[in-house]
Amino acid sequence: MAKRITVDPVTRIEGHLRIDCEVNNGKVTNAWSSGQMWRGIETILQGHDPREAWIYTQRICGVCTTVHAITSVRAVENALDMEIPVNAQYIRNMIIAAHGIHDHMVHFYHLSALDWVDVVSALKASPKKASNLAQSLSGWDKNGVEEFTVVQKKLQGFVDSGQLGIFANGYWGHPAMILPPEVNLLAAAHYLQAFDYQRKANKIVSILGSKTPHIQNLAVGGVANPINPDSEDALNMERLSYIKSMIDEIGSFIEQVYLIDVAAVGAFYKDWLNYGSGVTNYLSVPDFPIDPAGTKFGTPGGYIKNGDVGTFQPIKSFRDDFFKEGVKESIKHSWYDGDWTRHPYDEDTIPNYTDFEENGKYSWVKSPSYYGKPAQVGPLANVLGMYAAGDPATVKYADLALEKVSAIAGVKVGIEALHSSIGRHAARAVRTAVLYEQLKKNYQMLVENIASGDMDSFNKPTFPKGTQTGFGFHEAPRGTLSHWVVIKDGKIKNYQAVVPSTWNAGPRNQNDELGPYEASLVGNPVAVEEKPLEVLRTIHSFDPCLACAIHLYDDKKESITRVNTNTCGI
Amino acid sequence: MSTPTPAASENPKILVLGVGNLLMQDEGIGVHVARVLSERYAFDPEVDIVDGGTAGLELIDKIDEREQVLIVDAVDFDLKPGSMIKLQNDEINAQLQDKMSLHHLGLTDVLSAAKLLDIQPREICLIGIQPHAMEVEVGLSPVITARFEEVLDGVVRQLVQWGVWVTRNHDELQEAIG
Repeated sequence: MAKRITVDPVTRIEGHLRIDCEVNNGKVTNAWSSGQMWRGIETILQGHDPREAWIYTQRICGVCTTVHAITSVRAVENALDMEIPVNAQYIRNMIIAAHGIHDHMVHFYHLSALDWVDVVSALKASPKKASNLAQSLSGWDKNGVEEFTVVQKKLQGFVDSGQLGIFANGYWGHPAMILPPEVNLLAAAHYLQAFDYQRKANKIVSILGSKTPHIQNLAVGGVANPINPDSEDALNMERLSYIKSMIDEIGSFIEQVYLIDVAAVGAFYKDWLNYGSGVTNYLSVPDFPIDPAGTKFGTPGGYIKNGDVGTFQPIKSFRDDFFKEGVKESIKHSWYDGDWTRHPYDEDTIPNYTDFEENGKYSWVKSPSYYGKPAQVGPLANVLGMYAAGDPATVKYADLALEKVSAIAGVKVGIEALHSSIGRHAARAVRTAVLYEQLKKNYQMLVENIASGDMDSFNKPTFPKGTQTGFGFHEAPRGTLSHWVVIKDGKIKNYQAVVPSTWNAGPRNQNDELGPYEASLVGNPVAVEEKPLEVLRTIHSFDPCLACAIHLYDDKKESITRVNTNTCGI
Repeated sequence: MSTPTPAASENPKILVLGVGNLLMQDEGIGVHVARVLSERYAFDPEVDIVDGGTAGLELIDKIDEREQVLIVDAVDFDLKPGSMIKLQNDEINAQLQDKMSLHHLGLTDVLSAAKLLDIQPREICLIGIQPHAMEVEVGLSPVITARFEEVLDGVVRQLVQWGVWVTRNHDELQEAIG
């Protein structure tokens, strides 16, 4: 019998996504992804000074905050054909890396691990066995019996008080939860430790960006950080060495804990390597520019067709035509006026709400395509692209993670296993390690460049009369982000943001092909309809920037049950 | 917010944390209170007044190394709009757990996460205000605006109870006298 599950927003702060699933005989057979909130930032920007656009665009989100700022200044710089000082590139790069690390760590441990880890089961674990297991997997120095005993006592206290607090929404005891108690305890201990390390990563963002969430140090043309190694009022050696100490601590946690935990969870849930692939065209962009014009990058990016890394086609610069010409958006199934598929420069954003029409318009999100096809973006797309390009850090960490998974699971697991829900988590961990390498590198380059006497961090932009167009891209935590701007006589004439969650959460496109969320859900098992944990696992694996609730409907669309879940914002 | 420094221990021991969404009328009451509080009064010993907005786990940093924390927020208790409720320590999470209240992305999560991390101020007090309207609109509803001084008074009284000497700023006083 066909049943229907709806994921719908409940909270008043975030909550922009609704997912509808049709379930037949314990499997999802069809799915619709619907953005429930009108963004409108693009409309607000018209007529504004392009130099202040980043301040507005950054407010698109309170979680992925830096990314819209970075991408916006890149778009305007691109329109003006500007170069920026390398110090500015390095500082931006460090912010990008630290923010990404923070974001990925929080996503795995605090927002999605509890889809896989049963905290209540951890109470049954033997701390000694858990410690032995942990020490066999990693050299991390906080895997001792004492550590695990303390954590178990804390959890017991929470459960005894009847106030699960932060764990309240978990599906404890669900049949799809299969980790042994010891692995659950290990993960719970690292869940708590991760709080500390994500704070350290975020601190780097706030030192360089002056504030987080929402950095304040950008400028079209560079950054507003004054650099002076000897001044107390500038970015100086004291601040830089404090940052370095945090980089080192974060690095150990990523290499010895995060990567290992993801491999262990992945190995125990190896069945999940078969679920959740969906759209296997992957788009990512290069990032971490190290020259003023943005032609040399720390990490590669490009396009992969039909899941075949052999088809990888690189995107090479901030001015790359292959990227510029490839991106289009369709509004056939979106609540905007008309039915067109256009390049971002030529789009408009005129609302036309029709209610949820599953064969017509059903989302505020537009449907992007790359050369006419839907594409998945995010850490998985990025890691596959970097792997295909032979990026040494990516190859090193991906191979390391896959070897661990293979060793624990007892079967050989290759790169193809990444096309899955659990694969997205693994790719995110690999990417976090790559970001850590970039953070280290850019720190080093910044310090060396300052030592050579170069203190420049800003080139002044000038806006000529007439019309200029430009685009900026950034490989953000949730994937490829691009901003597109048309400037006329120094004012913004048109502005479009094509965001990662648009690529992934978009509705059907101009050819009625399913978007990545939609396609990834088809074929997912649903063991207990009242607790559709498996649907959550796949959606969460994309790291949606949303809070949602699950609605389960019967044939008459009457609600049977409703489950709330937060996916972000904390 | 100030630039973070390694020496967080110099922070005042008492924190007033106003949380909420300024774009949703009475949901923003906590932030409005925090703003007026820091404009209008001086405190001895010094009190840290923080606009927590809609932040979540970032707030753990703010709670760290405090002795007393006073949180002001909109809470739906099915009471008459403008009613104030005071909850202390463990009552807060116990009472709010099942409520679709405040901006639910965080407060109870922040407090329970803080507890798990052994960040436990000696005293946490929540002053909750029953909102009247929460549409997407800037500014408090007339109903809550009319009660605003009472809410502020409640917050000040709590600080006085904690032994804080609260005085009105001179300029404000002049303005009030006209």
